[in-house]
Amino acid sequence: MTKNIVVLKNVHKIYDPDGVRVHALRGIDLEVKEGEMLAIMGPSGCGKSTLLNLLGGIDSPTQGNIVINGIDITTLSDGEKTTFRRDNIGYIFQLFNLLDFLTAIENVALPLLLQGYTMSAAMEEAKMLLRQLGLGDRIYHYPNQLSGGQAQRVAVARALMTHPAIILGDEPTGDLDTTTSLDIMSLFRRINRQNKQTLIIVTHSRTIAEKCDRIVHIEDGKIVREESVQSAKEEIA
Amino acid sequence: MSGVTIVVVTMTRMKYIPSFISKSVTRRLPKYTGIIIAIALGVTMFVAVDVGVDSLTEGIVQSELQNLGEFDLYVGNNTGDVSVDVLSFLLSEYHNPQVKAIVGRYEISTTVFAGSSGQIEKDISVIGINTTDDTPLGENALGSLKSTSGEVLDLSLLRGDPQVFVTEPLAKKMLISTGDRIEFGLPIKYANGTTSFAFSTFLVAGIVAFEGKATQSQGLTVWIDRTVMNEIIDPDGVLRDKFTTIWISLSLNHKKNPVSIEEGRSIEAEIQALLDPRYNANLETPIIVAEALRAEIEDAIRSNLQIFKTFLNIMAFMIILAGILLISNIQIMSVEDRQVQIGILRALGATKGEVVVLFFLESLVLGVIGSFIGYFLGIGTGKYLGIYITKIFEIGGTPVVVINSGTITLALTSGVILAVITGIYPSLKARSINIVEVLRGIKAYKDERLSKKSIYYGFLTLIISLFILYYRNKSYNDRLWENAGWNGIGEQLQNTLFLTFLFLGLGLILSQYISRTRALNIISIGYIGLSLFFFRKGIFWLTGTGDATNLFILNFLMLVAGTVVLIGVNLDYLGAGIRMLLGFSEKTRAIGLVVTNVMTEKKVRSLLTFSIFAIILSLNVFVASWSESLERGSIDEWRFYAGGIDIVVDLDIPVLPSTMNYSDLISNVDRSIDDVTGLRHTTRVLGLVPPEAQSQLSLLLMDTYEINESTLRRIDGSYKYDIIAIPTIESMKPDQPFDTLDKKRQLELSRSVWDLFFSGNNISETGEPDPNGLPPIIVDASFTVFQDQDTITLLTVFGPREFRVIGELVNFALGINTFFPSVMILPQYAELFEAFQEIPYYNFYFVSTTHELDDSRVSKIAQEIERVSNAVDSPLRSKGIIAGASAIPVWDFYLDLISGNVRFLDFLQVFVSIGFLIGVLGLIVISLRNVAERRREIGMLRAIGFSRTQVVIVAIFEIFTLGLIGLIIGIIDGLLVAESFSELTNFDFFVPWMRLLQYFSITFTSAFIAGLIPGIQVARIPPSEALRYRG
Repeated sequence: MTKNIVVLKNVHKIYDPDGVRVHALRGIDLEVKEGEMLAIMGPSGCGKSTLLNLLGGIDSPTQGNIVINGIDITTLSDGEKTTFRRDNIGYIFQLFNLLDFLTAIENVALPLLLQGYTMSAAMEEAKMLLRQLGLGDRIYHYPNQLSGGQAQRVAVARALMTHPAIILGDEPTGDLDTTTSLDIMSLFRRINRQNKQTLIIVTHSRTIAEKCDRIVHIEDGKIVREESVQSAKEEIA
Repeated sequence: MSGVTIVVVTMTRMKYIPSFISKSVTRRLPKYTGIIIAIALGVTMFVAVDVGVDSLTEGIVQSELQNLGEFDLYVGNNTGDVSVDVLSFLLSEYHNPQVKAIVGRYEISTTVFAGSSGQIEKDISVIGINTTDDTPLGENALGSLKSTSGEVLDLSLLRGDPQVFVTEPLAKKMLISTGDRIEFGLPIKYANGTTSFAFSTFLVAGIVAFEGKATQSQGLTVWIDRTVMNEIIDPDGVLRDKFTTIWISLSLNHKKNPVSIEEGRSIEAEIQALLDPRYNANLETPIIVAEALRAEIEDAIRSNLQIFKTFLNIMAFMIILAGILLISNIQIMSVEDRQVQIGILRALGATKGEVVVLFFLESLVLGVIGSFIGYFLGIGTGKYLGIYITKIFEIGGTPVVVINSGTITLALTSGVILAVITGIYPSLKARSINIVEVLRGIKAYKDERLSKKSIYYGFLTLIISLFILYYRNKSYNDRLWENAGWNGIGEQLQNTLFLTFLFLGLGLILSQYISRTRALNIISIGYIGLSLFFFRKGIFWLTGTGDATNLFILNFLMLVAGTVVLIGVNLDYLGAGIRMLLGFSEKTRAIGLVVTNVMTEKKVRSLLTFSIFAIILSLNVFVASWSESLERGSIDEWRFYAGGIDIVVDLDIPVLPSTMNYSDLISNVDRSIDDVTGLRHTTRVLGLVPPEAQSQLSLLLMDTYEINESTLRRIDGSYKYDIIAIPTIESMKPDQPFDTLDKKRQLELSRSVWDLFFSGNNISETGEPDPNGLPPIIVDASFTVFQDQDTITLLTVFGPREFRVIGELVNFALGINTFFPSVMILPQYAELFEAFQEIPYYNFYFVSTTHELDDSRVSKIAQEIERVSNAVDSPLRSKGIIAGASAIPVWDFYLDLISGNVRFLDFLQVFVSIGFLIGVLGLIVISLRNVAERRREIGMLRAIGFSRTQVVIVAIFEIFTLGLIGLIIGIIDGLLVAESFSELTNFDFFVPWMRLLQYFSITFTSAFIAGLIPGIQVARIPPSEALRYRG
């Protein structure tokens, strides 16, 4: 039986900037299985990105527990969270969030360097991965010299580089046209199948969400509905 | 559409700009604080230099002029021999309503002994006044002598028993009260021309209040009845109708009614024109000249301090240059930070011109704010600067804060200019922003070569260089490729400018065919080569004198600019090196990758950052090395120039051998004294200033030494003292500059001069003994009026007489602190001067000891010599003699000279440290902005696994690396320039290791703090929040 790689119990997140209290998440309970591809959908401001940030350990919940890969990350110190993130999480953002001052290959190699790889080994690995993702001719380009699709593929490569157990995507196709978005989703599916990595994607798009195994709907900080996606199952079959 | 319509439409359309600027400046005020501070500091420096030096000037002028009381001009010949006839002549013939008083005075300088306190004080002015006159201080209500309580002193008191008044400062200094007795010697002049000295005791009948009218000799004055004085000094009545000086006042209250330099000079010219036909028609003695002393002193102080001000302004300019780079850097950051905003503005319809206007006006607003802050800061700083300079240079005088009407204009202008200069590049950068690129966050491919326009600029620059070459060849005959083509300051300046433009032009043209990196490499290497050529060769080829400041600054800037650009364009290689270095540890690999890419991505910004430090540190290191070399490298040099004389003893009144053998008295002071040689010395020999040096008849006092063979040589003919002189006779001159010769050769040449001098012959133009030639003389050529003169004319009792200059004194210790040029003459000519006739015996002694020149025991011996000469229980005093001996270690003369330079360099060090402070401040501001702007990237780094510590290290490492690059460039460039300067000034070069260590520590600490604080701040922000940052 496939184990739960992500377990959220009664997770609340309250922001209080400038004294204005915003209850972004109101008791989220969620389980994600290892190798599952999950889409989180909902209107703007419903708490999707907040949830993803909490899952990635780049933000902390106000209340509740988040257990990832058997570790309750809410109990970790900042330093431990950093190490946890480095070893377990791959991040893909809507605006690609590539480092402007690094070339494609350097962006991709950076997580490996953080894990102690030598420069040449990290570069070699990054080069191979970029080639696999069809970016062989864009290896030494800077992010602002790449198209949106190319930049997002670099971001995907960076997320995959350390073979993390979980890949989080915050609107990963939000800035892309339909064809490119579908390309990226196919890429995700390929990764998901090949590496058995868990993918959690936040999206507005039903089309994109339907490429996943399961869709979780959030409204006003609460999970209001969950659905299994048939098309995805068929595709897997 | 007509032009007017376009303007109107444009103006109407641009109405939004003021409110836009107002909102932008208000909202971004924290971000602009760095710019405002930098502008304010720049303005502060200019205002502080302006106010500080002006205040200092005013203080010194007031203090120095106090010595003149209310007098403006003096008429006489400086030797104390003016007939009463001259006064009568002036009073009857010269009528100018501007002249308020003409006063004749008889003044003698002597040493006073105060019985009550046992103190002895040299150089006291004894003034004889006519006590029967209603206006004893001169004609036209110059006033009367008042007591300290304000009552008019009864002058009849002076006519009784030998009684005197002393002025308040002297009374305070010597602890004299009314009723005390003081003692002093006066020279007695006999009709046969001989002189002796009388020592008399006087009763102090009153203390004269220290006020303007009676403040000559800084108030150290004794007032005596002229008749009583004459009874002592003039038994034969030869001085009865004589004055030493005639004083002229153009204002009776200079504070209320000041007299301008021009007024003083114009009266001087009028009086001189009146005197010449009567007294100077054939230059027969006594020559009488008028001199606008107040105007001369004021002019000299003002122009000297103007040079000082210019020097400080040059330093300030260099520092401000660093400030300009800092502000430009922040402005560029601001443009980059606002790229999207500019893109939106352009997309909404703002023209490129409007964007430029927007940024330009914003700069102006910041400039004006900075100017006002700088104005007030500058006035405060200037006040303290004035006090500080007065203190460290021991100049005297009370600084008065002088704020000219021009100061506020200076502040505003400099602030606005700073803002405008620094606004140009960012405005153009903002103008050239591509709307699509910034809004979509993409970047179009940029050609590695410079734009096509650069080829036109290249040709234009080449044409300018050729024009300079043409102009240069027209002005100078020597060709560029000849050694002689580089020996003039003007020549070298034009050669340098020509080559500077040539390199730039060629580089720009080449940039069309090769990458811009290569083109910039060629230009920067060219500039470095050119400046190195100047500092290693060119500077030594310069002959003659002149102001080489421009040349020096140009090459200094070229060296720094060349190095900075060279490092800047090759930053990628440097980055690769650092990356490799950090790659050795798995903990620093990722940091290495991020840091080096951050640095190399924004090359211009990085270059500006380290160039700030490079300029500032070049200056600091240069000043520090120069100072170190001057202090440490000069001891051997001075030992050589001292020539074996360890102490000089100067007597106010000579001790006649019939009274006591003074040489023996000195010799017995200490066993280490191995020689005491007496000679005669006077400062009252007059030289006629060469007509080409001054338009009207002018005389200059000469510090004259009577030197005979036994003064410098032992009985066996060997030299016991070596006063170094450079041969000036053509055939004896060395074929290379004297100071470049080794010391042995310098000594040989100097002795050849003295050998010729002691031959006793008249000397021909070619240096041969010639009965029809001129008597030899050796002069101190540091006085410009006597530089390069083959002969000089001295006024003897028989009228003007020419002497042949056979040698020039170089670094003559005794000449260092005097106001007059030193000259050496033979005894047979000394008697031609009245001044020597009045000195019956030696009044000056050279003393040599077995100790080293700088041995502290020499100072103790000097003190002992003074004690045995001046103390109440001294053998001299027991014989009733007040000789007024000063024994000065020669090392002190040099120390004074060195300490003056060292003090100046110390001051410069403090001054350039302000620049260092600006550099450090810049580092902090840049780091704060860098980190703040990269908040999103830092969020990204944190998201992918960078720890907080790693983020802080990245922030520190980036700013530290840039600071370190600047530091290294600064150290290399500064040392290079200082080394060549030391060579030029003949001092051994020393690296100021301690200072370098300090600079490194400060750079390290400030970079650490500059990176740490914002680093910690930003690392604390949750990555999720940082990722939302959009500028």
